[in-house]
Parts: sequence; structure tokens; C-alpha cells
Amino acid sequence: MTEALAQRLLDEVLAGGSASPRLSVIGLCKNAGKTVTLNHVIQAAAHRGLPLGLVSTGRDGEEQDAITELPKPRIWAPAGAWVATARGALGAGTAEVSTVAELPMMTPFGPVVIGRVERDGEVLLIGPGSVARINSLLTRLEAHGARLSLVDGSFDRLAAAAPAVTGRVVLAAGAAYSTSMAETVAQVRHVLDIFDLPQAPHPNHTNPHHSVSIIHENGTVTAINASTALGDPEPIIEALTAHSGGYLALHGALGDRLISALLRRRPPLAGVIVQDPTRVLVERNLWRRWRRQGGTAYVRQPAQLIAITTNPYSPVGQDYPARAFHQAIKDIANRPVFDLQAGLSPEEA
Amino acid sequence: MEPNWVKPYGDTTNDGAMQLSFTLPVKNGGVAREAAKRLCESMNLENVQIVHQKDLGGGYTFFVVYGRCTQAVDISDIHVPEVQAPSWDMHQVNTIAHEKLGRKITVVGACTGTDAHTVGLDAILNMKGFHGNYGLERYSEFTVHNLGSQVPNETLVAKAIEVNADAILVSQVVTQKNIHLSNLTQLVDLLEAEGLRDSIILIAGGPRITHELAVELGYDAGFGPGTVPSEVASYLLKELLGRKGIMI
Repeated sequence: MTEALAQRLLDEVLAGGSASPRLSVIGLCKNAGKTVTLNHVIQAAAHRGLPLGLVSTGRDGEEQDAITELPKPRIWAPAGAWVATARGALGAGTAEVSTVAELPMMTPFGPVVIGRVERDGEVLLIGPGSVARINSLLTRLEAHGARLSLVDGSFDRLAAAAPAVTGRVVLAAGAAYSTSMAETVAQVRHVLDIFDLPQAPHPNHTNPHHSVSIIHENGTVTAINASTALGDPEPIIEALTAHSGGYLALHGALGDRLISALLRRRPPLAGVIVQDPTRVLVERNLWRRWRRQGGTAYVRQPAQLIAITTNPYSPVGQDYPARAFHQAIKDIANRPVFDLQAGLSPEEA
Repeated sequence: MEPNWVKPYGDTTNDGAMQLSFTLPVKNGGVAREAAKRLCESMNLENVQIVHQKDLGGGYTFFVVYGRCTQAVDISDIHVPEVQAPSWDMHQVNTIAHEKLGRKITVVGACTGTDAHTVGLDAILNMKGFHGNYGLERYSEFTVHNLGSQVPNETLVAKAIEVNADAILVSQVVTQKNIHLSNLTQLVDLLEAEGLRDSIILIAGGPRITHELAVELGYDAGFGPGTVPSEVASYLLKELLGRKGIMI
């Protein structure tokens, strides 16, 4: 049952049409079920003989959680898979891995190596923190022959979901996020709202030359003298007011301070344009208030959040009833939702 | 690797001598003494000697006990990642920075989110420093912006951009609550979103921060309790020189 479900999730992962798709698994929080989700996708891919590439943005597959000291699931890798991990992590699993290259990229456990799994088993993945470096590792894994690359996100980080890195995402939603199921569902809805932002409506919107600028309806651009939109929002509000609106285009992050100012001051604004969904880092309630007031945002490049996995088990707090949680996420998801452990399919009623 | 078994050291190598101190909720006397002895024996200590016993009042007794540990630990099997940095003092850092880097090092520090525990951050940044080791504000080759406590991540990143910082120092008391970790990971994602992650050295510090955890969270380095400012300064300087291709 769960094997068939994992195959279905893999179908969703591969549905993008890319010759060598990349997927990042992001978590709503720590202990949300990323590794379990990843293992199901790995096993499904192994079953089809699909050569895998595996990398982590932090550390995954260790026996014990570094903070809570709770036991954690380990990552299983089939023979033929390619891994990028720290040299010091090679002996830590049961898999037999041969090193094919050592890279000038340091981690506290030694340099990152590219390895080929010779015999099935558990692996410990330790990767570099920056997504630029993750991206270069994925390119290497693909050059070696990986046909599906999987990036395990660390904690609740989402930067690896950026289209420039993977662009396809599975969200692991777990009870560890909050003792309140309603709270967890609300956070999932928040993440979905950001990942589902529509693509920017105008071709001029695709090429940002300035950190912060206004793009007018006729396509002309007015640069705003600010190196980031995270600082004092006053010059941005003033410029919007002086130019009677248009699209506010950002090169970097969209944060709480600017959204607060937009809510409070209500300057004329057709919408905010960001590079991709990973650039929106706004607190949930603030974002919802702005959206309810009519705030609109666009992305230049979308990232596809293709499916959600639910995990009703919390190692730190209270568990949820599996069916109720799966159903509650399904009600808001508008995409397939799986509980891979309990065997609950997207059609489960 | 060759195993390297070690036992506690008392008078001679591997004699296993240990000292324990604890309190039992038992009235001072013979029963308390025997209870303490049996407790230690049940912990597999040999040659247990009660060397001090004191009535704490209210039916409690305090003990100091010697015993021989029967266990050993193989240290060849232990790998704890630590920040690799030279142990330069303030004058060496200033001299090397002046000669090799040729410009001042700018750092921005804060306790982020809801965290108001500035003790650790101030120990590293404040002029008076910590443990007889002057803070980074005292270094002629450092420019320090200490934003204090309860600083939103956005404000910290905006300041770092404004002053063109080389490094961000975040102090955080990490508990098992997700919120403290989310604060730390959100800062990394903000820097990624600003396209700055690879150009800024990102350091976390705090009583429960280890280098390993910091790196796992996406930081360049982590410093735990007992860190003195010159260690942080040496690490920063070495890292900045390394990024310029200068190895020392």
C-alpha cells in the first residue's frame, strides 16, 4: 500500500518533464518528516532503476538529533546512487560508498566528496549550507549520471527550493510544528499561498537591474535608491506615492517591515514582484492581513510545490489523529497529499 | 585507527579515580552513609570511600565520595568538529589584519528575535571583553556594530548591507523549542534571498551552540560557552584572508 503510494508520489515528482529533475524536500519545521518522505521517494526510484543523486543542505541521516538527542530515521541509498557528502561522513553508514572525486568545498567533517553507492545501505549526508554550492554539487551529480536529484533541506530552511537550485518541492508537514493542529494547517496554507503566487504579468518584469524599483504599467522603470527592501521602508513608500503606483520590483527579500509599512500607509501599488517564492519571508499573520487588504504579489520564476506529506507524529509534543490531519491538509492543499506511513492516499475520504 | 582507551586519572595512569558529590534525602548518620556507598557501588564504582559527609538539615545529607571507575572510553572513535582557527592575540590579529588584509574588518552583531540574553554577545563585542580577553570593539582593525537584544533578522541584515559588513554575529539561546531554531534558519534564508549568503561570514554563538549545530543550520561557524573574543577575531581574520587566497 505505502509502496504504491510512494510510486504515485514519484510520478508527481517526475511529471515536470525535465530530463534530470531536481527535487527539494522542505519541512514545515524540524522533525516534520522530511527524511521519511525522502526515503519513500528514494525507494520508489530505486524500484524503477532510476539513478539517484543525493545531497543535504545540512546534515541528515545521523542516528540522533543534535538538539533533542532523539533517535532519527536514517537515509537509505540504493546501489548505483550518487551522493555528495563530507569525507568524514563516509564511514558513518552501512552503505558501501566509493569516492570518485574530492572537492575544494569544506565542511566541519572534511571536504565534500562525490561518491558512488556500491552496496545498498544507510548513508549520512553532510552538505554545504549555501544553496549556490548545493547547486554546483547537483550539476556534478548529474554529470556523473544522476537522473533524479534529491535535496534534503535542513530544519525549516527553504532556500534550496528556489528555481535556480531545484524549483520542485515536496513539503513535509508535521505535528512537531505546533500542539495545535489548526495552527499547523494555517502555516501550511501560508506556505502554499507563497508558493502559488502567480507569475509576473509583464515581460519587463523578468530582468531586474536594481535592488528596488518601480515598474510602471507602460513598462518604464524607476529605480529607488535603496540597496535592500529590508531597511527603512520610507523611501519606498514615498517613491510609490510620488509615481502613483506601479509594480514594486525587488531583487532580494520581501520582509515584515515593508509589508507592515504597506499595510499602514497604503500607497498606490499594483503589486509586489519578487524573484521567486523563497524571497518572501513574511510572518504569517502579517502576510494574511496584507493579502486580505488586497495586497498582491508576483514571482518572476515560480517554484512548483508539487505535493505535501503529512506526519501526525510529533517527537516533542502532541500527536494528531492521522486521518483528521491528512483530511485537514487535503481540504486546503489543491494538490496531492500523502501520509506515506499510515498509507493515506490523496483520494482517501 | 588504533583504539585509544582512557580512564580517569587520579594518582597513576588509568587508575580510574573519580570524585562524586551529591545529596541524599536521608537524615545524616549510618544509614545515610551506607546508602551513599551502595548507590555508588550500584554505579559500578569500585573501592568506594565516603570522604566527606555533612548534615544539611531537614533530613538531607551531603556526600563527597571517591571511587574507581571500571569503564574506559575509546577517544580514537570520537569526532567533535571544532572551529579551525589560529590562536592569535589582539595585537597579532591587528598586525596581521593591517599588513595582509589592508583594511578594517566590519562586523554586525545582535541577539535576534525574542532573545534578550546579551551576555554572550557583549562578552565578544564589548570593549572590556571577557576573561581578561578584550572584546572586538577594542581592536584597532575592527569596526563593530552591536545592535543589542531582540533585533529582528531583517534589521540585522539591513544593517549588514548598509555598513557592507564582512560578518554577522548572532547570539541565541537555543532551547528545544522550534522558535529559536527558526530564528536562526530564517536569517540564513534571508541572506540567501538577498543573494548575500556566500559573501558574508555568518557566525552563531550561545550557551547551547556547537560548531556542528551551527553548520547544520547553515552558518559558517558556531561558538559555544567559554569562547573568548580573540578566538572569534582570529577565525574571522583567517577566513577573510582565505577568501582572498591568502593562507597563513
